[in-house]
Amino acid sequence: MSPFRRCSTHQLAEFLAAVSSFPDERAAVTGALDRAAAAFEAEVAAVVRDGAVEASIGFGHGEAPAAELVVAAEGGQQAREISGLGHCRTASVPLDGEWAGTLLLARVGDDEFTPEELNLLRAMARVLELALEMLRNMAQERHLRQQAEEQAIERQRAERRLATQHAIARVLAASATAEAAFVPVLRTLGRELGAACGVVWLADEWSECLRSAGIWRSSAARATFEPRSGCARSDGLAGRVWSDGAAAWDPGAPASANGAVGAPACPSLAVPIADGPHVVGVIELVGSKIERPDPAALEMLTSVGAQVSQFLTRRRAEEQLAHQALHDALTGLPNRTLLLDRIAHASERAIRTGTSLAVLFLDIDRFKNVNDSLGHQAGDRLLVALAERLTAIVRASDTVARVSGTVARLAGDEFVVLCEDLRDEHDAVHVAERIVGEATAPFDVDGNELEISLSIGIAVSGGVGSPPEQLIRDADLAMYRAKEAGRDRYELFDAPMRTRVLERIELENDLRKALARDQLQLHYQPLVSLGDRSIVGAEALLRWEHPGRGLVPPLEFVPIAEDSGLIGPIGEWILNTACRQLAEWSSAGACPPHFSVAVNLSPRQLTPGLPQVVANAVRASGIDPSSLTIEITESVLVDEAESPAELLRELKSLGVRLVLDDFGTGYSSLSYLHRFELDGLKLDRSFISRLGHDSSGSKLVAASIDMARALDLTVVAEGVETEGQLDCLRELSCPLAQGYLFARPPPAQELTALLQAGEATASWRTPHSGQRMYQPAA
Amino acid sequence: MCAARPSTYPDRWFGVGESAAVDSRAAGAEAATQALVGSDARLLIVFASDSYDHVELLRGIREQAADVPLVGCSTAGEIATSGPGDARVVVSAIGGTGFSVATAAAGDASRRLREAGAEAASCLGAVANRSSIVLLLLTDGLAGDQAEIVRGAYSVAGAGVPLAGGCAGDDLKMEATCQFHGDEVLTDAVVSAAVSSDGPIGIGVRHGWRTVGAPMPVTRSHGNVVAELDGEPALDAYLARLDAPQDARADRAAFARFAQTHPLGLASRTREPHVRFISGADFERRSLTCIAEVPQGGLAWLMEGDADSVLDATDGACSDALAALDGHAPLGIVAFDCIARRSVLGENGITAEVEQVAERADGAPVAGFYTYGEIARTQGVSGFHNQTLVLLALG
Repeated sequence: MSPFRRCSTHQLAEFLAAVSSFPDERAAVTGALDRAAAAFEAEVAAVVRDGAVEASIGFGHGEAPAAELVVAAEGGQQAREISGLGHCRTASVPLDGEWAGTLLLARVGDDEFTPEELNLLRAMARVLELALEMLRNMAQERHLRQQAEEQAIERQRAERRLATQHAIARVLAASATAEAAFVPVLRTLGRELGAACGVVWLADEWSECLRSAGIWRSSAARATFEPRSGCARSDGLAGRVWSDGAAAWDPGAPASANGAVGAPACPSLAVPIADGPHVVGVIELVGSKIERPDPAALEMLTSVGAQVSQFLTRRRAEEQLAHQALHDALTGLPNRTLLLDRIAHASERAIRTGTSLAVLFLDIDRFKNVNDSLGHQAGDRLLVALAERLTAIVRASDTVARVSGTVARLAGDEFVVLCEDLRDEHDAVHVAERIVGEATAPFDVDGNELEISLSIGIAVSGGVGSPPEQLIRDADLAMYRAKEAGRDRYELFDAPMRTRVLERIELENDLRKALARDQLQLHYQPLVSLGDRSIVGAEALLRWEHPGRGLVPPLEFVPIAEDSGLIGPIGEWILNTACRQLAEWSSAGACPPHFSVAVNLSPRQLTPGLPQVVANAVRASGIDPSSLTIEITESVLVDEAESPAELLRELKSLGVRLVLDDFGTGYSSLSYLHRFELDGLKLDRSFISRLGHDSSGSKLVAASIDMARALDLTVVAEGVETEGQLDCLRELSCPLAQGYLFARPPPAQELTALLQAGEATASWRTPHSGQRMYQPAA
Repeated sequence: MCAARPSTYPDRWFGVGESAAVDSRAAGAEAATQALVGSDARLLIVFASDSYDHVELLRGIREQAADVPLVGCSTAGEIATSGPGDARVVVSAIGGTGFSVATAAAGDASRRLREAGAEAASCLGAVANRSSIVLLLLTDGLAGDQAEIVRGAYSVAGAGVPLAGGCAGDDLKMEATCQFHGDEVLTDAVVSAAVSSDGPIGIGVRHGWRTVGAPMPVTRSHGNVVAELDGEPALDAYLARLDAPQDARADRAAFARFAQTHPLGLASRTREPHVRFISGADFERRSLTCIAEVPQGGLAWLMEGDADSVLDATDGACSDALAALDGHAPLGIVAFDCIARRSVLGENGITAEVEQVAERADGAPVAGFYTYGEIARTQGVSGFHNQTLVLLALG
């Protein structure tokens, strides 16, 4: 065997190994040409197919003489001229399979290809076919495997995305606040997408700006990433996404999130926080590893944006509910619940810091007037405006006097100001003075200028932690005290005040029992005609004989009756009792014709149900309505300037008489008399007591009597105690009078006796009682 | 020392300068000054000892010829007209309107041998068309299979452009070699210069080794490791056929000495076999390790030689190179001489060899270096050689 023959097997094995080692078919073909040319010491090797040179070596780039090579490939073994080579020997063998064509060699010179060489070349062509087929199969295999791997990776990626979404859903569900939620959300997303840092921007529609609400930085990014606090609509990727409402990726824009000076441009990704078309914010992620998101990643990001948006909506609703639970809907101020909580905390702080705190209980004086006259809406607007003023005053106190405070609304027109960090009660008084001074400037409500006054009760807790409810109650009491003391003022709570209140509560309970147990009585103050000193009528006066305390002065229990609402049933009882008594006297013939009974009316009784109560009393007793006189005080007319007009007209229409009591103590405006169609007036005892002592008193009484006469009103002088006063009144032609000079108010049966005696004299006086039984509250 | 010769061709000149100055910059400047014997220099070829600071050296050269294209490399010894030597720099300058030059450099060669070869050869596209052309290649001999680099260069150059050159050395330290391109000092690179000339260019390739006996098929090999020759363990076949002395059969150093004068020859149809230097043996696996690839399936001869046969080859190479010049004296000769031949010839031998070349050059200057592998392709596609002398004669 020739050495060449023995060689060829090994040579082919090496050829196969070399060709197979290339990564792809084209490289393998080129490698095969290299080795074939080397084996045959040829300068040129080529694959010619379908009339074109598929691959060649031995020519520079693009310099292969294609046409000549194609011709040479057709001819088997030849001697020919080839451009760039000169005289050559060529050999060609067929190549089958995918690369079907011809394998061509060209050797410069005249050295023929031997039959052995041609055999080896044929064998090499077969080996090349095999190697190429193998490479193709391997490539296909690789392609399939790659596909499978890609699918597996895609599946894993999808699973990871789902896990990310779930993780974010869990974070959002577990987070109590947006602040607590954002950083874990950013961290989860950032790790999934390979970000170095991220920002949650929330849109501030008012300022057209995105504000950073959460920042996450990987530990590596802390040095290079300086988070910005805001970014405009036109600013960077986040601003663009806010405007466009669609997620976007930027391979190298300066991140809107990074405010670090000289920070390099970096890939960033931003996704809108939106559940629907309305974008409420943007999630932006920054990092050199962030790639363009594929559709699946975009879907995931959009879903996360929607999740965060829903979370924000839910949080807002919860916050609103929480706010509503603790705030007054009308003014937005803290309500009682929140106030109690604030007081409790303030108490703890006060004890710790050795400061005091005060609760100021405020009430608008005669607020009802506003509601009744201008309507509830106007009333509400007044409350809102007052709330604003109070808040401003408290805020100013914080700045000026280092007194921090909270304004709360409890109900209706009741406000509470909680003041903290007080040195002593003077600080609280100072705040109260400011409120009285500044909060009462005229209000413009619906074009009406309203002037109000405030009554304020102050309860100070110094060093001892009084229970919050107690402090409010104490301040409330002090406020009532301020009301009692004439409104438009403040009162400091003190311990005796509480004692008085407790007594009052006890008295109220007793009064309730008294009414139920018929312990109340009416006494009757005779009304005397000065002409003949005959008794022409009587004023019913309420008396309460307390089982334990004896006679209770009306000044003590009437206000209680008024405040507790007992005045209603008591007033009704008085009306019924007085009417019945008059009917008794009439039917028994104990009284002269036209005898009248007067009943005092408390302002608190002036309710829409009153005419019906009066009508019932008249009807039930069967008396002539004109024999019933209802006495009202001036303050009723002044206080309730508008609303009682209709009520009084209704009363008048029943046929009863209306008389103005205590004339001269208040505004003494004669216009009332005319306006309310009153039938008469009673001159207050303070004028009468001055008769004979100073001339101005006499002049005033004289003028009143003249005026009443001119208006055809009856005039009664009250509290006549001396013969001198009686003489003066006679001189002034005062027709009627009542007073101790004639009689102390006796019980009904005693008056019956007096009536039978026919004349009122000083002997009627009963020595044991020295004052009127019923005096309406001022 | 200046070695230049008045050109018979007024539009082309070739000059060689050398310096053994210790200061790198001064050495570069001195050698360049000597080499620049004419105006209009077109290319500087620098062969410098590994002992120099090459950056400074280039700076020194560039001070003399700032804008002239420059290629070069570190060596395992330099050759100048004056003779062989070490610790020197030898600068050749090619100039005149009859030459055109374009240069290129391709880095990261070890990772992409073929590609780097192709990239280096791309400068051929930038050189003017003249009657003859050569692509000069200087590669990092430690970068890997040099045959791949040559294949890459051939894929661009094609059969029409001869290749010549050598692998850079580092004075046999075998650590790192340098390639020069312009002002740059590179490593793991291929630098190249496409030189076209109105005159002739000749290349001579000879090694002087004689075949011993019949060729043997390489029945098993992988890269540069030959496992079997003719079905026998390669080391056993090698030692037996050459009747190697006893010490070479067991002692590595003795084997290395013996192998230096007994390389493998790869069968060639028409010319001397390509020599593969045997750099070592694995006494356990009974395999031979060569300096370059020995393809399985090829035929290999065992070879022998001595100083005389090697010097005979020098003469043959000169004849081959000068043959292309049609009897005209050359402008100059560039030699790429294998470091292994230097070992065989000894210091006297190499001096004689250079003298022989200079004599054949008929007074034309000679430049060159001792290489870690030689490149010469004039026929076929294979162009990488071992233990060979490559001479490039410019006419």
